[in-house]
Amino acid sequence: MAALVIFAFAGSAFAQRPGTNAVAAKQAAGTYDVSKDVSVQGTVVKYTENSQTPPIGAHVLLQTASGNVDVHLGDARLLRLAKVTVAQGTNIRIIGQMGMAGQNAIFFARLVQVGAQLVAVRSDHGLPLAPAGVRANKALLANAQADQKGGAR
Amino acid sequence: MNRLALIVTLCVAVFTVACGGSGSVPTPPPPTGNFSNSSLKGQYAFSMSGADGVTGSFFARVGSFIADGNGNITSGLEDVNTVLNGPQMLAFTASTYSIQADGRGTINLTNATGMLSFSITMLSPTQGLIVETDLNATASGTFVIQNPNSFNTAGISGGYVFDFSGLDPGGNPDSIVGQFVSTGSGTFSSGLLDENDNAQLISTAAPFTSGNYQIDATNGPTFGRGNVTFIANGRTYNYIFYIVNGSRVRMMETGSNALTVGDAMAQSSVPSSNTNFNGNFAFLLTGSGTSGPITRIGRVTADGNGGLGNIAADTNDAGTVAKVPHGSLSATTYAIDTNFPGTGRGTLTFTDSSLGKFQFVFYLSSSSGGVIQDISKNNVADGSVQLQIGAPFSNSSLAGDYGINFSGVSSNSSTAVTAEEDYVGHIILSSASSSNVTGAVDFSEFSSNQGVFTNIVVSGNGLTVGGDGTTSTGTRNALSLKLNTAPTSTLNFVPYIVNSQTMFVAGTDSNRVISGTVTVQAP
Repeated sequence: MAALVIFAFAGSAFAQRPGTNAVAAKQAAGTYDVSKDVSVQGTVVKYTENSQTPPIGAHVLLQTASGNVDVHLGDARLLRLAKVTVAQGTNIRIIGQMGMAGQNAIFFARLVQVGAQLVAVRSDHGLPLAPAGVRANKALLANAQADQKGGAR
Repeated sequence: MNRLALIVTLCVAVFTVACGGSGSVPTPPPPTGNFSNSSLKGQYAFSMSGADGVTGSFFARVGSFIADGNGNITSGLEDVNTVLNGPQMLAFTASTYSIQADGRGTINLTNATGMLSFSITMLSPTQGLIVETDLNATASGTFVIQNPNSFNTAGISGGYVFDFSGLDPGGNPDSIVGQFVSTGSGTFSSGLLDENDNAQLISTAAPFTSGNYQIDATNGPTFGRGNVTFIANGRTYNYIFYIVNGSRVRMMETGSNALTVGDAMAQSSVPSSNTNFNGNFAFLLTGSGTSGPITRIGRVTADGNGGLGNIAADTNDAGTVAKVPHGSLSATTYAIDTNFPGTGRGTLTFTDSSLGKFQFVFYLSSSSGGVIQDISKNNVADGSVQLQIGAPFSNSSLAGDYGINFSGVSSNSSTAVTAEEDYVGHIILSSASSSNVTGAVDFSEFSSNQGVFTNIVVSGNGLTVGGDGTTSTGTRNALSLKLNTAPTSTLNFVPYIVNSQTMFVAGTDSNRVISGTVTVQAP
């Protein structure tokens, strides 16, 4: 590829795959429709910056009221750039939607909120964002703030 | 982290590994072959892209250097564009290179910022593969001999297809493919493009409303440098270029905050109807999808009547690997766009009941192939489609010396980092059906502590040819390369053989998404 850059990754294989009952509609592989975004909130059970389980990138296993959810965060460098810490036991809110990675159900995160910090990790079209320098990161922040004003989807 | 700190960190990491008893690394045997320093003689245009070592962000460089055939780079010029620093033009002062008998070598280019180091593999005296290996960045690309007689306005004349990929101003993946016709006097008489920006098809067959180019008065006559501007769908695109010859121009976007890079290739005898587009075609695309980095590799048979058959493809979506067909196939069609005759534009579609709809748009440079863009939902990817000829293939028919270049992203379990990697090297494939590969490779792997690895012995099972090698029946080929690092690692690929000279390859490992080419050397 000359490489369209991309990312970090997560996880040593989780001991068990999360159930899919925590979030409703499961997207077909390769589709992301921002109008179907939902918000999930829960406690971090495990955070892995560099998972060995696809999709590559940062994963967080989130304990929600409906069960555990394997969330793909994309490029961990975005979180580091934003100085966001996703530690075990932290309560976080994710906006995104369920999808499939092979046979595994994954929640694809678009926005990650930890405390008052909100970080965009995917575009409105579902593509993981890459660290792209000051200009782009400013744009990401602006987009994230705009999305937040619009409320959870 | 500043650059110095990064280097210090990497050095500490290297030292730590060296003291960790991780084992010795074998060195390659003395190289054999007919390449030497005299193989690199003349003026070459290079183009490469990859990841900056400090920020990890996408960057690109294009330029020109002059080699004297005796280990010296006598002069050169490059345009480099990083997201953080924007575009810069830098001259190269006296620099050096070295070529081994197997075509592998190094180029060190010195400019005002210091010395850039590259590992290369010559494919022939007219072209080669190049990877940046100085830890400041990692990038892959090629260099091609230039014809200075084309360093003028008339040097760009006639129809060209182009394929530019990179980032839009917001840092999102962007792919632009299209075609233009140059008058040879500084203007484009027509043009057409498709742009997939952040998985939005923001322009579909958008005609140019204007287009012009100029040779750089200072550096054009010497290096073939110039700039081009065109407008389509109300958007203005600015590129600098380096002319290779009348058939090829290397281009990089500049001045508009976006950063895409690629080549324009001259057209000839472009199919104007479905009837003129028939035969077996292999394709390779790389880019991004919902899960992260993706590759699409495969082959189809175009029947000359808008139908596709013998479809086989392999996908890697951020480590999730799948074969097509996975379910049943339907809507297997292609169409040469008769609304824009002579442009070479067309579409190609098939639907897998399990994996979904695959959609592509292509622009042909000839009836033998061209550039291709993925326009499937939520994907941004681009690459090459080429006529598949010369079958049947076998280990005997494919035995020989090859230059290899792979690029992509890998995930490292020990460092908790996923980052870009780029490989360049030389392999020898024997006629044996297994354990048929030997060679050596240099690579940057920014997910590792060490960062750069040089002179690594390649061995392993090598190339397995399935059936007649075309994959038309679905029987896959395989390529397995063992890297004798400490500890060792193995790269597994699915190759689609284009012809007796070239294979497209895409990685099938779950911890990396890489792809590239395996190309016969001709000293």
